Amino acid sequence: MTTASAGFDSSWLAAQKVAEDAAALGRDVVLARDLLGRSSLLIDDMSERLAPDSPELSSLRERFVEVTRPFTGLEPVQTARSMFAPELFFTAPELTEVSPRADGVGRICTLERTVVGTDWLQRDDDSASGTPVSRRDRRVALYGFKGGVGRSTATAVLARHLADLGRCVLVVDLDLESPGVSNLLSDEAGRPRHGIVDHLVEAAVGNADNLELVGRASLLNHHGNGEVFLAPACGLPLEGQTYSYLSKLNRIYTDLPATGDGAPPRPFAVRLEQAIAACEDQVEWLARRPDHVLLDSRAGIHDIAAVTLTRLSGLALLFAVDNPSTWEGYRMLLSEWQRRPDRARELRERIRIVGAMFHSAGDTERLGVLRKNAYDMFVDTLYNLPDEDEPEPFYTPEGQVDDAPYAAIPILFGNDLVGLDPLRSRRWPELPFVEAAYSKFTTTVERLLPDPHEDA
Amino acid sequence: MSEPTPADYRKLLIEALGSAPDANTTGPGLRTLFTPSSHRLALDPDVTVVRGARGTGKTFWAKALVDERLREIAAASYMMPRLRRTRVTTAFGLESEEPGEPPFPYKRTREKLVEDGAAPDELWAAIVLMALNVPEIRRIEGWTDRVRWTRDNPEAYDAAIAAADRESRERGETRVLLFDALEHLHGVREQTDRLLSGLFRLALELRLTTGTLRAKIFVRPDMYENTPKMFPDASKLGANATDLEWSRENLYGLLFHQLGNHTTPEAEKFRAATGTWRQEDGRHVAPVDVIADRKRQEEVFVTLAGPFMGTDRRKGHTYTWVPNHLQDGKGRVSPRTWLKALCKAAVLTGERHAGHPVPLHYDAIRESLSSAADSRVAELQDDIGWAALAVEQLENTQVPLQASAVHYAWHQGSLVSKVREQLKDERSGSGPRDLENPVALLEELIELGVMTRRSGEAIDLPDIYRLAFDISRKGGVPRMPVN
Repeated sequence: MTTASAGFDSSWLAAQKVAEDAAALGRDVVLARDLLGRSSLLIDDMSERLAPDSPELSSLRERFVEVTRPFTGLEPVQTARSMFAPELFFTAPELTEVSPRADGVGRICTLERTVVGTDWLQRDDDSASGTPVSRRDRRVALYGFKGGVGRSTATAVLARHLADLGRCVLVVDLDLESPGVSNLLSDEAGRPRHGIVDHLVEAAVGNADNLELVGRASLLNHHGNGEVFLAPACGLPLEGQTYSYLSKLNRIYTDLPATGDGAPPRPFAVRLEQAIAACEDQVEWLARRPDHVLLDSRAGIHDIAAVTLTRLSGLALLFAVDNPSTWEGYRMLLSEWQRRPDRARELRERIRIVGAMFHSAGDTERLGVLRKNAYDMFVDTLYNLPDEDEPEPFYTPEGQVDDAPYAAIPILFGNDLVGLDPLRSRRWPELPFVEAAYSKFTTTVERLLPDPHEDA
Repeated sequence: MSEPTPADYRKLLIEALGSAPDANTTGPGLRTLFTPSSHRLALDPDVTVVRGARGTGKTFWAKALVDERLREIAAASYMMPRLRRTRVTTAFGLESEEPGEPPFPYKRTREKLVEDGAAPDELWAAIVLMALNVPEIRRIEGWTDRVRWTRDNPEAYDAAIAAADRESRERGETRVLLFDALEHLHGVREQTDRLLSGLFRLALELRLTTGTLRAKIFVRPDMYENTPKMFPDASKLGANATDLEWSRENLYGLLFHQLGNHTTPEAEKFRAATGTWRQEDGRHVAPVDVIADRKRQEEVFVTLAGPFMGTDRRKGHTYTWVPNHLQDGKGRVSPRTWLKALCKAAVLTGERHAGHPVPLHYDAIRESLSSAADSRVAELQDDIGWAALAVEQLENTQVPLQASAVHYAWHQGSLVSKVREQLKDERSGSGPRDLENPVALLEELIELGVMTRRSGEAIDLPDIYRLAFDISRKGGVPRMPVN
């Protein structure tokens, strides 16, 4: 046997073969792949112990190491009984079943341990994830495959618009690595002492009860009974207190094992859900139940974006600038769902494309072109699914559809906006050209949202 | 229902506005409680500092917050359910509305305590414990011993605060301690500043160290600005402060609310003529455009005052003219002055222009400014007495004046000794920051909105202060004694 040609893909194929042989011996197996693509074979021996020095295990280990090189996991073959927290692997919600348990043959699953990606395919009805639909429907994710398209500004403008309608709005800054919307919404001095990262690290050790996670968005000059609260990514400590943002950031993506007292393990998605719910609860205590929660997600392919789009929000606004690389990015992202048609069908109902920085001047055809490109992207990814029984969505050449996901909502872009520095002119949302640029966006999104709570 | 006649409306204006709410004497009423949207944050338990100039409603809201029924109205109208889970106590004010000993010492006692060396933070700590009804301090007779006890027992103070915090947390409540009438803290301005600084520090400490105990401090903006805030995290105090302001829409909203909530048949006619009013918690709530929409408000006001301040537009539009002429140097209009002016205009129209086709005659409106100025100056005398004295010294002159002429008039009138005499009165507010220095005095008056500086450095007086005295101005509304 030669291993000379072993590479990322062929090593994975070879590992799957070994996994099949292991399962054939009657035990469930999980084939896990780590961040670098190195695989490990995990064997469930909880019901019948497999001794670490048994010939069966030794031979599997030897073969596995041989065929997977150089993509061999640090501990190539492990048994459940030898592991610290086996449930994190054998009952992980992100397991993908390759072949079911059958007569005398164990189940084979794969588990992708990556920084990014797995959460795109998560189910959201897991009891472990626990986002009640009532909460999820009030949340709006604002996401851009590429950064710098005015996503945070749009979040701020939308928050103000909703507050002017008398709604109670919470903005959560989920751009943990480059917090942006926070600066548009509040002065430093008005920032709460803690941020989303604090909840993620404190809740991990059961210490999240006394955090100050939200504060009023003091810079948005809205009128009436509306409220805008901000949950920043990073808190502002009191004078003289230390605050180490980076050390916290390094620890938030970990999946946490079960604590032992019957509680389920907490993967990152669940931890993030709990952090957002804690912010919502604080707004309810300080003011009233938030009518809308805007999640300003980060750009790119990232766990936070994945969790936010697929599991935490009832409406996902995908910001797109009409250029090939944007559509390529979204195509890559959304095509992941083709493997899970049930999820894809549900997800496409909750997505809307936003035409960011849309140059309308001088060309009335432009919006139609943008919508056509969005349409093509959707047809390639979320429509035309395997076992699809719905007809392909209708597309009019003029792009005159207003309620389909690909009917991009334009945010106009003009030269005035180039010179806008929100940090210097505080009342920027009231400037006439800002209102004009965003009015189509705010009024369209407003109609996509659930009615406000009635019991305020 | 028959269309209301001008006489009907005149009667309504006189009756409904004649008893315009005065927080210091009558207190806010159930029906007359008007909730302008811009005052919403002032009621939020987490907002510590509420800045408001004289007559903008500090005491009004302080009293409304303590009253459970009024608080309920505010909770409903402002959509602030948290106000229903709030316990409010007056920790400091002009006088206590509750029977028994107030939780704060009266002015003479305060001045004595300061003279004997009580530190501001000890004094405020003792006041907070009294307001929270802590038995250990309630048992002690007299403020000297209370302040001493607080100083000597820091641990007991911390424990009492923690216990109060725990107790309200268990009840699911927020405990709000109100501090109002702070311009009366101490006759000497420096001492007032010192005391205020201590109060701000303690208020911030409560917010940062407890989950449910909150101080709410109603204070004049100039006093807030000038109080030194040299303690950690002081910027957090300003970040969640709010201002009591009256926009033009708010003033008209208040006017229409008062008219629609009077008890007579004329009020009913007014409601019927202005759209569909809702009945809510025993008061009538106007349609939203009557409260907030400039255009609709002007339509309604034109039915009361006609469109122009004369026979045509060249004399100005009533809708903008009236509030403009009631402004102080900072562009602020006191709501009480506003209502009083329109009430007086109705009286004058009835006496002199009874046949006028609309309820208010423009000449009557113009004449009513002088009496509005009288009542504004009376307010000024109550709180910033020295400022009223300073204006009084300019009597028989004509503005604008050069600064040196103002200084000369003060010197001639022995302003300094007059102010000293006035500050001896138990009920007078604080003095100026620097009484001996006329330049600083002038700056402070400009900051207070009592005087304005024109281009070319000349000093001017807004009508609302000028017309109460015999001070003329070229081109201005003439001073007309009306009684």
